[in-house]
Amino acid sequence: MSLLEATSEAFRRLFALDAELWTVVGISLKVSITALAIATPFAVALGFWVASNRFRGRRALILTLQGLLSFPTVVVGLILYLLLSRSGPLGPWHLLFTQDAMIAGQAIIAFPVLAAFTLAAVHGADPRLRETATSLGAGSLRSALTTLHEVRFAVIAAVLNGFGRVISEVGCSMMVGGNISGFTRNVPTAIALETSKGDFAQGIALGAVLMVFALLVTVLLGIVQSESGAK
Amino acid sequence: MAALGRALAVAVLLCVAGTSLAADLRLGATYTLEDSGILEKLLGAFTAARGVRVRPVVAGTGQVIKYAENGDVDLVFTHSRADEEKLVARGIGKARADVMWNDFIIAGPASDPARVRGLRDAPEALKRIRASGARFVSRGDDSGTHKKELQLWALAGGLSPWPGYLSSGQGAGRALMMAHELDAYDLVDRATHRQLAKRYPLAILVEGDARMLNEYGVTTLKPAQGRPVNERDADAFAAWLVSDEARRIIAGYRIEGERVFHLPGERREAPAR
Repeated sequence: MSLLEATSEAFRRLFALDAELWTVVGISLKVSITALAIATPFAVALGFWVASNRFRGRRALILTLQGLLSFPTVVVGLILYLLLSRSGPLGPWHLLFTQDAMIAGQAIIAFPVLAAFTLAAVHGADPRLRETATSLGAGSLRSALTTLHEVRFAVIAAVLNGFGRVISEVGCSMMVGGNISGFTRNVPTAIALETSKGDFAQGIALGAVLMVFALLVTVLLGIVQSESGAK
Repeated sequence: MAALGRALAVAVLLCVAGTSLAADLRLGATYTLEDSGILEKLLGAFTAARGVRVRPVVAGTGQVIKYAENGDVDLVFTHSRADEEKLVARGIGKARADVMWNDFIIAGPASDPARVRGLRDAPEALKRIRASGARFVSRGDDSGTHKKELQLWALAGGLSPWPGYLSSGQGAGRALMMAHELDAYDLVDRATHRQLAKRYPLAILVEGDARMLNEYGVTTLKPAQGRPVNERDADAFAAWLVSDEARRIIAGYRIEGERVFHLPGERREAPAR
Protein backbone atom coordinates (compact mmCIF):
# COMPACT_ATOMS: atom_id res chain seq x y z
CA MET A 1 0.00 0.00 0.00
CA SER A 2 1.45 3.35 -0.98
CA LEU A 3 1.73 6.28 1.38
CA LEU A 4 -1.04 8.09 -0.51
CA GLU A 5 -3.46 5.13 -0.41
CA ALA A 6 -2.72 4.54 3.27
CA THR A 7 -3.34 8.20 4.08
CA SER A 8 -6.65 8.42 2.27
CA GLU A 9 -7.79 5.19 3.92
CA ALA A 10 -6.71 6.67 7.24
CA PHE A 11 -8.91 9.72 6.81
CA ARG A 12 -11.81 7.60 5.64
CA ARG A 13 -11.63 5.67 8.91
CA LEU A 14 -11.33 8.84 10.97
CA PHE A 15 -14.46 10.34 9.49
CA ALA A 16 -16.36 7.04 9.32
CA LEU A 17 -15.99 7.02 13.13
CA ASP A 18 -14.22 3.66 13.04
CA ALA A 19 -15.15 2.19 16.45
CA GLU A 20 -11.81 0.51 17.10
CA LEU A 21 -9.92 3.68 16.31
CA TRP A 22 -11.99 5.94 18.53
CA THR A 23 -11.93 3.42 21.40
CA VAL A 24 -8.17 3.70 21.33
CA VAL A 25 -8.39 7.50 21.35
CA GLY A 26 -10.86 7.41 24.25
CA ILE A 27 -8.55 5.21 26.31
CA SER A 28 -5.65 7.56 25.63
CA LEU A 29 -7.61 10.60 26.78
CA LYS A 30 -9.04 8.89 29.84
CA VAL A 31 -5.68 7.61 31.03
CA SER A 32 -3.72 10.81 30.39
CA ILE A 33 -6.32 13.17 31.84
CA THR A 34 -6.73 11.01 34.95
CA ALA A 35 -2.96 10.86 35.39
CA LEU A 36 -2.72 14.64 35.19
CA ALA A 37 -5.64 15.13 37.56
CA ILE A 38 -3.85 12.97 40.12
CA ALA A 39 -0.37 14.40 39.67
CA THR A 40 -1.21 18.10 39.35
CA PRO A 41 -2.26 18.96 42.95
CA PHE A 42 0.79 17.25 44.45
CA ALA A 43 3.24 18.54 41.86
CA VAL A 44 1.95 22.12 42.09
CA ALA A 45 2.06 21.98 45.89
CA LEU A 46 5.63 20.69 45.81
CA GLY A 47 6.71 23.25 43.22
CA PHE A 48 5.14 26.03 45.24
CA TRP A 49 6.59 24.86 48.51
CA VAL A 50 10.11 24.50 47.11
CA ALA A 51 9.92 27.92 45.48
CA SER A 52 8.76 29.75 48.58
CA ASN A 53 10.79 28.09 51.31
CA ARG A 54 14.45 27.96 52.20
CA PHE A 55 15.73 24.65 53.53
CA ARG A 56 18.72 22.35 53.41
CA GLY A 57 18.92 20.32 50.21
CA ARG A 58 16.70 22.73 48.31
CA ARG A 59 19.25 23.20 45.54
CA ALA A 60 19.62 19.42 45.18
CA LEU A 61 15.86 18.97 45.06
CA ILE A 62 15.50 21.58 42.31
CA LEU A 63 18.29 19.97 40.29
CA THR A 64 16.66 16.55 40.75
CA LEU A 65 13.31 17.87 39.53
CA GLN A 66 14.94 19.45 36.51
CA GLY A 67 16.91 16.30 35.81
CA LEU A 68 13.74 14.21 35.97
CA LEU A 69 12.28 16.34 33.17
CA SER A 70 14.29 14.26 30.72
CA PHE A 71 13.93 10.95 32.55
CA PRO A 72 13.32 8.27 29.89
CA THR A 73 9.75 7.01 30.03
CA VAL A 74 10.83 3.43 29.38
CA VAL A 75 12.86 3.53 32.57
CA VAL A 76 9.77 4.68 34.47
CA GLY A 77 8.02 1.73 32.81
CA LEU A 78 10.77 -0.68 33.76
CA ILE A 79 10.80 0.36 37.40
CA LEU A 80 7.03 0.27 37.61
CA TYR A 81 6.97 -3.13 35.92
CA LEU A 82 9.41 -4.55 38.44
CA LEU A 83 7.31 -3.16 41.29
CA LEU A 84 3.98 -4.39 39.94
CA SER A 85 5.05 -7.78 38.56
CA ARG A 86 3.69 -10.73 40.47
CA SER A 87 7.22 -11.36 41.69
CA GLY A 88 7.59 -7.68 42.68
CA PRO A 89 6.74 -6.04 46.02
CA LEU A 90 3.40 -4.65 44.79
CA GLY A 91 2.45 -7.82 42.90
CA PRO A 92 -0.48 -8.68 45.21
CA TRP A 93 -2.20 -5.49 44.10
CA HIS A 94 -2.73 -7.05 40.65
CA LEU A 95 -2.21 -3.76 38.87
CA LEU A 96 0.07 -4.90 36.07
CA PHE A 97 -1.52 -4.65 32.60
CA THR A 98 -4.36 -2.44 33.78
CA GLN A 99 -5.30 1.16 33.04
CA ASP A 100 -4.45 1.99 36.66
CA ALA A 101 -0.85 0.97 36.04
CA MET A 102 -0.71 3.20 32.96
CA ILE A 103 -2.22 6.09 34.93
CA ALA A 104 0.38 5.63 37.66
CA GLY A 105 3.17 5.62 35.08
CA GLN A 106 1.92 8.73 33.33
CA ALA A 107 1.38 10.53 36.63
CA ILE A 108 5.00 9.81 37.53
CA ILE A 109 6.16 11.00 34.11
CA ALA A 110 4.09 14.21 34.30
CA PHE A 111 5.04 15.00 37.89
CA PRO A 112 8.47 16.62 37.32
CA VAL A 113 7.14 18.67 34.41
CA LEU A 114 4.33 20.07 36.53
CA ALA A 115 6.49 20.66 39.59
CA ALA A 116 9.39 22.27 37.74
CA PHE A 117 7.12 24.61 35.76
CA THR A 118 5.25 25.67 38.89
CA LEU A 119 8.50 26.20 40.72
CA ALA A 120 9.85 28.44 37.97
CA ALA A 121 6.60 30.41 37.78
CA VAL A 122 6.40 31.02 41.53
CA HIS A 123 10.06 32.00 41.50
CA GLY A 124 9.30 34.53 38.81
CA ALA A 125 6.26 35.96 40.61
CA ASP A 126 6.71 39.31 42.29
CA PRO A 127 7.73 38.59 45.91
CA ARG A 128 6.04 41.86 47.02
CA LEU A 129 2.71 40.27 46.16
CA ARG A 130 3.03 37.81 48.96
CA GLU A 131 4.44 40.35 51.35
CA THR A 132 1.55 42.68 50.63
CA ALA A 133 -0.95 39.90 51.14
CA THR A 134 0.66 38.99 54.43
CA SER A 135 0.81 42.63 55.58
CA LEU A 136 -2.88 42.94 54.78
CA GLY A 137 -3.50 40.23 57.30
CA ALA A 138 -3.74 37.20 55.00
CA GLY A 139 -2.77 33.90 56.57
CA SER A 140 -0.03 31.82 54.97
CA LEU A 141 -2.54 29.66 53.11
CA ARG A 142 -4.37 32.72 51.90
CA SER A 143 -1.21 34.42 50.67
CA ALA A 144 -0.09 31.21 49.00
CA LEU A 145 -3.41 31.08 47.14
CA THR A 146 -2.93 34.71 46.10
CA THR A 147 0.42 33.86 44.59
CA LEU A 148 -0.93 30.75 42.91
CA HIS A 149 -3.76 32.82 41.45
CA GLU A 150 -1.15 35.19 40.12
CA VAL A 151 0.77 32.38 38.38
CA ARG A 152 -2.31 30.41 37.28
CA PHE A 153 -1.47 30.78 33.61
CA ALA A 154 1.97 29.30 34.16
CA VAL A 155 0.37 26.38 36.00
CA ILE A 156 -2.06 25.84 33.12
CA ALA A 157 0.90 25.93 30.76
CA ALA A 158 2.57 23.32 32.95
CA VAL A 159 -0.48 21.06 32.76
CA LEU A 160 -0.64 21.43 28.98
CA ASN A 161 3.04 20.57 28.69
CA GLY A 162 2.53 17.59 30.95
CA PHE A 163 -0.37 16.50 28.77
CA GLY A 164 1.80 16.78 25.68
CA ARG A 165 4.39 14.57 27.30
CA VAL A 166 2.09 11.79 28.51
CA ILE A 167 -0.37 11.63 25.60
CA SER A 168 2.44 10.71 23.20
CA GLU A 169 4.35 8.48 25.61
CA VAL A 170 4.77 4.92 24.37
CA GLY A 171 7.48 3.12 26.39
CA CYS A 172 5.87 3.09 29.81
CA SER A 173 2.33 2.47 28.56
CA MET A 174 3.53 -0.52 26.54
CA MET A 175 5.44 -2.03 29.46
CA VAL A 176 2.88 -1.68 32.24
CA GLY A 177 -0.30 -1.52 30.17
CA GLY A 178 0.48 -4.45 27.89
CA ASN A 179 -1.29 -2.96 24.85
CA ILE A 180 -4.43 -5.04 25.41
CA SER A 181 -7.02 -4.29 22.76
CA GLY A 182 -10.00 -2.29 24.04
CA PHE A 183 -8.47 -2.00 27.50
CA THR A 184 -4.91 -0.74 27.70
CA ARG A 185 -4.24 -0.03 24.03
CA ASN A 186 -3.79 3.71 23.67
CA VAL A 187 -2.84 5.81 20.68
CA PRO A 188 0.96 5.47 20.89
CA THR A 189 0.99 1.72 21.59
CA ALA A 190 -1.61 1.16 18.88
CA ILE A 191 0.56 3.00 16.37
CA ALA A 192 3.50 0.81 17.35
CA LEU A 193 1.36 -2.30 16.86
CA GLU A 194 -0.38 -1.28 13.64
CA THR A 195 2.99 -0.46 12.10
CA SER A 196 4.26 -3.87 13.12
CA LYS A 197 1.17 -5.52 11.63
CA GLY A 198 1.63 -3.56 8.45
CA ASP A 199 -1.71 -1.74 8.84
CA PHE A 200 -0.25 1.61 7.97
CA ALA A 201 -3.64 3.27 7.43
CA GLN A 202 -4.59 2.73 11.06
CA GLY A 203 -1.14 3.94 12.11
CA ILE A 204 -1.49 7.12 10.06
CA ALA A 205 -5.04 7.76 11.30
CA LEU A 206 -3.93 7.46 14.92
CA GLY A 207 -0.86 9.54 14.20
CA ALA A 208 -3.13 12.25 12.78
CA VAL A 209 -5.20 12.22 15.96
CA LEU A 210 -2.04 12.56 18.02
CA MET A 211 -0.89 15.48 15.89
CA VAL A 212 -4.26 17.18 16.31
CA PHE A 213 -3.84 16.83 20.07
CA ALA A 214 -0.35 18.32 19.87
CA LEU A 215 -1.66 21.17 17.75
CA LEU A 216 -4.52 21.84 20.17
CA VAL A 217 -2.11 21.92 23.08
CA THR A 218 0.14 24.36 21.22
CA VAL A 219 -2.78 26.62 20.35
CA LEU A 220 -4.06 26.53 23.94
CA LEU A 221 -0.56 27.29 25.21
CA GLY A 222 -0.41 30.25 22.86
CA ILE A 223 -3.76 31.53 24.10
CA VAL A 224 -2.75 31.05 27.74
CA GLN A 225 0.50 32.87 27.18
CA SER A 226 -1.10 35.81 25.41
CA GLU A 227 -3.69 35.98 28.20
CA SER A 228 -0.97 36.13 30.82
CA GLY A 229 0.96 38.68 28.73
CA ALA A 230 -2.10 40.91 28.23
CA LYS A 231 -2.73 41.13 31.93
CA MET B 1 45.61 19.97 10.00
CA ALA B 2 44.20 19.58 6.51
CA ALA B 3 45.70 16.12 6.30
CA LEU B 4 44.08 15.21 9.57
CA GLY B 5 40.76 16.49 8.25
CA ARG B 6 41.09 14.38 5.11
CA ALA B 7 42.00 11.32 7.15
CA LEU B 8 38.96 11.87 9.34
CA ALA B 9 36.68 12.26 6.34
CA VAL B 10 37.98 9.01 4.87
CA ALA B 11 37.55 7.25 8.19
CA VAL B 12 33.97 8.45 8.44
CA LEU B 13 33.24 7.38 4.87
CA LEU B 14 34.73 3.96 5.52
CA CYS B 15 32.60 3.53 8.60
CA VAL B 16 29.47 4.49 6.72
CA ALA B 17 30.36 2.22 3.79
CA GLY B 18 31.35 -0.51 6.21
CA THR B 19 28.02 -0.58 7.95
CA SER B 20 25.93 -0.32 4.81
CA LEU B 21 27.84 -2.78 2.62
CA ALA B 22 29.33 -5.41 4.88
CA ALA B 23 26.25 -6.40 6.89
CA ASP B 24 24.30 -7.04 3.80
CA LEU B 25 21.93 -9.98 4.05
CA ARG B 26 18.58 -8.88 5.45
CA LEU B 27 16.63 -11.80 6.86
CA GLY B 28 13.01 -11.38 7.89
CA ALA B 29 12.48 -13.80 10.80
CA THR B 30 9.67 -14.46 13.26
CA TYR B 31 9.57 -13.84 16.99
CA THR B 32 9.41 -17.54 17.80
CA LEU B 33 12.72 -18.17 16.03
CA GLU B 34 14.32 -15.43 18.05
CA ASP B 35 12.59 -16.17 21.36
CA SER B 36 13.45 -19.87 21.19
CA GLY B 37 17.12 -19.07 20.63
CA ILE B 38 17.56 -21.18 17.48
CA LEU B 39 17.99 -18.18 15.18
CA GLU B 40 21.14 -17.02 16.90
CA LYS B 41 22.63 -20.52 16.65
CA LEU B 42 21.86 -20.83 12.95
CA LEU B 43 23.05 -17.36 12.00
CA GLY B 44 26.26 -17.75 13.98
CA ALA B 45 27.07 -21.03 12.23
CA PHE B 46 26.22 -19.65 8.78
CA THR B 47 28.39 -16.58 9.25
CA ALA B 48 31.25 -18.74 10.50
CA ALA B 49 30.91 -21.08 7.52
CA ARG B 50 30.38 -18.57 4.74
CA GLY B 51 31.65 -15.25 6.05
CA VAL B 52 28.36 -13.52 5.24
CA ARG B 53 26.86 -11.49 8.02
CA VAL B 54 23.10 -11.71 8.39
CA ARG B 55 21.01 -8.91 9.81
CA PRO B 56 17.84 -10.47 11.22
CA VAL B 57 14.76 -8.26 11.23
CA VAL B 58 12.49 -9.90 13.78
CA ALA B 59 8.71 -9.43 13.66
CA GLY B 60 5.49 -11.40 13.47
CA THR B 61 5.07 -13.49 10.32
CA GLY B 62 2.39 -11.12 8.96
CA GLN B 63 4.75 -8.20 9.18
CA VAL B 64 7.71 -10.17 7.80
CA ILE B 65 5.59 -11.00 4.74
CA LYS B 66 4.84 -7.26 4.39
CA TYR B 67 8.56 -6.54 4.60
CA ALA B 68 9.05 -8.98 1.74
CA GLU B 69 6.37 -7.25 -0.35
CA ASN B 70 7.96 -3.88 0.33
CA GLY B 71 11.46 -5.07 -0.52
CA ASP B 72 12.76 -4.42 2.98
CA VAL B 73 14.30 -7.89 3.36
CA ASP B 74 16.18 -10.33 1.09
CA LEU B 75 14.51 -13.52 2.23
CA VAL B 76 12.09 -14.66 4.92
CA PHE B 77 12.15 -17.44 7.51
CA THR B 78 8.62 -17.75 8.82
CA HIS B 79 5.94 -20.19 9.98
CA SER B 80 2.82 -19.70 7.95
CA ARG B 81 2.96 -22.10 5.02
CA ALA B 82 -0.16 -20.71 3.35
CA ASP B 83 1.24 -17.16 3.34
CA GLU B 84 4.64 -18.31 2.15
CA GLU B 85 3.12 -20.28 -0.73
CA LYS B 86 0.96 -17.29 -1.59
CA LEU B 87 4.08 -15.14 -1.71
CA VAL B 88 5.59 -17.48 -4.31
CA ALA B 89 2.31 -17.74 -6.23
CA ARG B 90 2.13 -13.95 -6.44
CA GLY B 91 5.60 -13.80 -7.96
CA ILE B 92 7.20 -11.97 -5.05
CA GLY B 93 8.71 -15.12 -3.62
CA LYS B 94 11.04 -17.23 -5.71
CA ALA B 95 11.06 -20.57 -3.91
CA ARG B 96 10.00 -21.98 -0.57
CA ALA B 97 11.58 -24.88 1.30
CA ASP B 98 10.68 -26.68 4.53
CA VAL B 99 13.33 -26.14 7.18
CA MET B 100 11.97 -27.61 10.38
CA TRP B 101 8.88 -28.03 12.49
CA ASN B 102 7.62 -28.36 16.01
CA ASP B 103 4.18 -27.90 17.52
CA PHE B 104 2.06 -25.44 19.38
CA ILE B 105 0.80 -26.08 22.86
CA ILE B 106 -1.73 -24.39 25.08
CA ALA B 107 -0.03 -23.31 28.26
CA GLY B 108 -1.81 -22.01 31.30
CA PRO B 109 -1.92 -21.67 35.07
CA ALA B 110 -1.43 -24.88 37.03
CA SER B 111 -4.80 -24.26 38.72
CA ASP B 112 -6.38 -24.75 35.25
CA PRO B 113 -9.71 -22.98 35.89
CA ALA B 114 -11.11 -24.08 32.50
CA ARG B 115 -10.24 -27.75 33.14
CA VAL B 116 -8.48 -28.36 29.83
CA ARG B 117 -5.51 -30.32 31.16
CA GLY B 118 -4.85 -33.46 29.19
CA LEU B 119 -7.13 -32.59 26.28
CA ARG B 120 -5.72 -33.43 22.85
CA ASP B 121 -8.42 -31.53 20.99
CA ALA B 122 -7.26 -27.91 20.72
CA PRO B 123 -10.55 -26.37 19.47
CA GLU B 124 -12.40 -28.13 22.28
CA ALA B 125 -9.90 -26.69 24.76
CA LEU B 126 -10.45 -23.17 23.39
CA LYS B 127 -14.22 -23.64 23.71
CA ARG B 128 -13.82 -24.62 27.34
CA ILE B 129 -11.55 -21.68 28.08
CA ARG B 130 -14.12 -19.32 26.61
CA ALA B 131 -16.99 -21.03 28.44
CA SER B 132 -15.17 -20.77 31.77
CA GLY B 133 -14.57 -17.06 31.29
CA ALA B 134 -10.87 -17.56 32.07
CA ARG B 135 -8.29 -15.21 30.62
CA PHE B 136 -6.58 -15.98 27.34
CA VAL B 137 -3.72 -13.89 25.98
CA SER B 138 -3.88 -13.70 22.21
CA ARG B 139 -0.88 -12.50 20.25
CA GLY B 140 -3.24 -10.36 18.19
CA ASP B 141 -0.40 -9.26 15.93
CA ASP B 142 -1.05 -11.13 12.68
CA SER B 143 1.90 -13.40 13.45
CA GLY B 144 2.15 -17.08 12.52
CA THR B 145 1.02 -18.02 16.02
CA HIS B 146 -1.91 -15.62 15.82
CA LYS B 147 -2.92 -17.06 12.43
CA LYS B 148 -2.80 -20.54 13.93
CA GLU B 149 -4.92 -19.41 16.86
CA LEU B 150 -7.54 -18.01 14.46
CA GLN B 151 -7.55 -21.28 12.51
CA LEU B 152 -8.20 -23.16 15.73
CA TRP B 153 -10.97 -20.73 16.68
CA ALA B 154 -12.58 -21.28 13.29
CA LEU B 155 -12.60 -25.01 14.08
CA ALA B 156 -14.08 -24.19 17.48
CA GLY B 157 -17.05 -22.46 15.88
CA GLY B 158 -15.58 -18.99 15.54
CA LEU B 159 -13.99 -16.50 17.86
CA SER B 160 -16.42 -14.41 19.85
CA PRO B 161 -14.25 -12.45 22.26
CA TRP B 162 -15.22 -12.45 25.92
CA PRO B 163 -13.89 -10.07 28.62
CA GLY B 164 -11.05 -12.45 29.44
CA TYR B 165 -9.84 -12.56 25.83
CA LEU B 166 -6.85 -10.23 25.81
CA SER B 167 -5.55 -9.25 22.39
CA SER B 168 -2.05 -8.11 23.30
CA GLY B 169 -0.25 -7.33 20.07
CA GLN B 170 2.98 -8.61 21.62
CA GLY B 171 5.66 -11.08 20.56
CA ALA B 172 5.68 -14.71 21.72
CA GLY B 173 7.88 -14.14 24.75
CA ARG B 174 5.97 -11.07 25.92
CA ALA B 175 2.60 -12.78 25.47
CA LEU B 176 3.83 -15.68 27.58
CA MET B 177 5.01 -13.23 30.23
CA MET B 178 1.60 -11.56 30.25
CA ALA B 179 -0.15 -14.91 30.56
CA HIS B 180 2.08 -15.74 33.52
CA GLU B 181 1.37 -12.38 35.18
CA LEU B 182 -2.37 -12.61 34.64
CA ASP B 183 -2.91 -16.35 35.24
CA ALA B 184 -4.07 -16.66 31.67
CA TYR B 185 -3.94 -19.31 28.95
CA ASP B 186 -1.68 -18.83 25.95
CA LEU B 187 -1.15 -20.55 22.62
CA VAL B 188 2.60 -20.78 22.17
CA ASP B 189 5.11 -22.87 20.27
CA ARG B 190 6.87 -25.53 22.27
CA ALA B 191 10.35 -24.07 21.79
CA THR B 192 9.50 -20.60 23.10
CA HIS B 193 7.62 -22.13 26.01
CA ARG B 194 10.56 -24.36 26.88
CA GLN B 195 13.01 -21.50 26.58
CA LEU B 196 11.04 -19.30 28.99
CA ALA B 197 9.61 -22.03 31.24
CA LYS B 198 11.90 -21.12 34.11
CA ARG B 199 11.03 -17.45 34.05
CA TYR B 200 7.33 -17.85 33.31
CA PRO B 201 6.38 -21.24 34.69
CA LEU B 202 3.12 -21.97 32.89
CA ALA B 203 2.09 -25.61 32.62
CA ILE B 204 1.64 -27.37 29.29
CA LEU B 205 -2.06 -28.23 29.43
CA VAL B 206 -3.00 -29.12 25.87
CA GLU B 207 -0.69 -30.79 23.35
CA GLY B 208 -0.60 -33.51 20.75
CA ASP B 209 -3.34 -32.24 18.40
CA ALA B 210 -2.12 -32.74 14.83
CA ARG B 211 -3.74 -29.41 13.96
CA MET B 212 -1.24 -27.64 16.19
CA LEU B 213 1.64 -28.40 13.81
CA ASN B 214 4.06 -25.49 13.45
CA GLU B 215 6.10 -25.56 10.24
CA TYR B 216 8.98 -23.25 9.45
CA GLY B 217 9.97 -22.50 5.90
CA VAL B 218 12.51 -20.33 4.15
CA THR B 219 11.33 -18.32 1.15
CA THR B 220 13.69 -16.53 -1.18
CA LEU B 221 12.47 -13.44 -3.01
CA LYS B 222 12.59 -12.36 -6.62
CA PRO B 223 14.27 -9.05 -7.25
CA ALA B 224 12.00 -6.53 -8.95
CA GLN B 225 11.72 -2.85 -9.72
CA GLY B 226 11.83 -1.07 -6.37
CA ARG B 227 12.56 -4.36 -4.61
CA PRO B 228 16.30 -4.92 -4.79
CA VAL B 229 17.31 -8.28 -3.37
CA ASN B 230 20.73 -9.57 -2.41
CA GLU B 231 20.02 -12.74 -4.40
CA ARG B 232 23.44 -14.35 -4.19
CA ASP B 233 23.67 -14.36 -0.40
CA ALA B 234 19.97 -15.03 0.07
CA ASP B 235 20.15 -18.12 -2.15
CA ALA B 236 23.27 -19.26 -0.31
CA PHE B 237 21.57 -18.89 3.06
CA ALA B 238 18.38 -20.63 1.94
CA ALA B 239 20.43 -23.53 0.55
CA TRP B 240 22.51 -23.66 3.70
CA LEU B 241 19.39 -23.81 5.93
CA VAL B 242 18.50 -27.19 4.40
CA SER B 243 22.09 -28.42 4.25
CA ASP B 244 23.47 -31.21 6.42
CA GLU B 245 25.28 -28.70 8.61
CA ALA B 246 22.09 -26.75 9.41
CA ARG B 247 20.14 -29.99 9.87
CA ARG B 248 22.69 -31.13 12.43
CA ILE B 249 22.31 -27.86 14.33
CA ILE B 250 18.51 -28.06 14.28
CA ALA B 251 18.46 -31.72 15.32
CA GLY B 252 21.04 -31.06 18.02
CA TYR B 253 19.37 -27.98 19.44
CA ARG B 254 18.27 -28.56 23.01
CA ILE B 255 16.62 -26.32 25.55
CA GLU B 256 16.97 -27.65 29.08
CA GLY B 257 17.84 -31.00 27.59
CA GLU B 258 14.71 -31.17 25.45
CA ARG B 259 14.75 -31.29 21.69
CA VAL B 260 12.36 -28.61 20.43
CA PHE B 261 12.74 -28.62 16.62
CA HIS B 262 12.39 -31.48 14.18
CA LEU B 263 13.48 -31.96 10.59
CA PRO B 264 11.02 -32.25 7.70
CA GLY B 265 9.82 -35.82 7.30
CA GLU B 266 11.08 -36.73 10.72
CA ARG B 267 8.66 -38.18 13.27
CA ARG B 268 8.68 -36.82 16.73
CA GLU B 269 10.00 -38.84 19.60
CA ALA B 270 7.53 -39.23 22.45
CA PRO B 271 7.29 -35.88 24.25
CA ALA B 272 9.32 -35.80 27.42
CA ARG B 273 6.99 -34.92 30.26
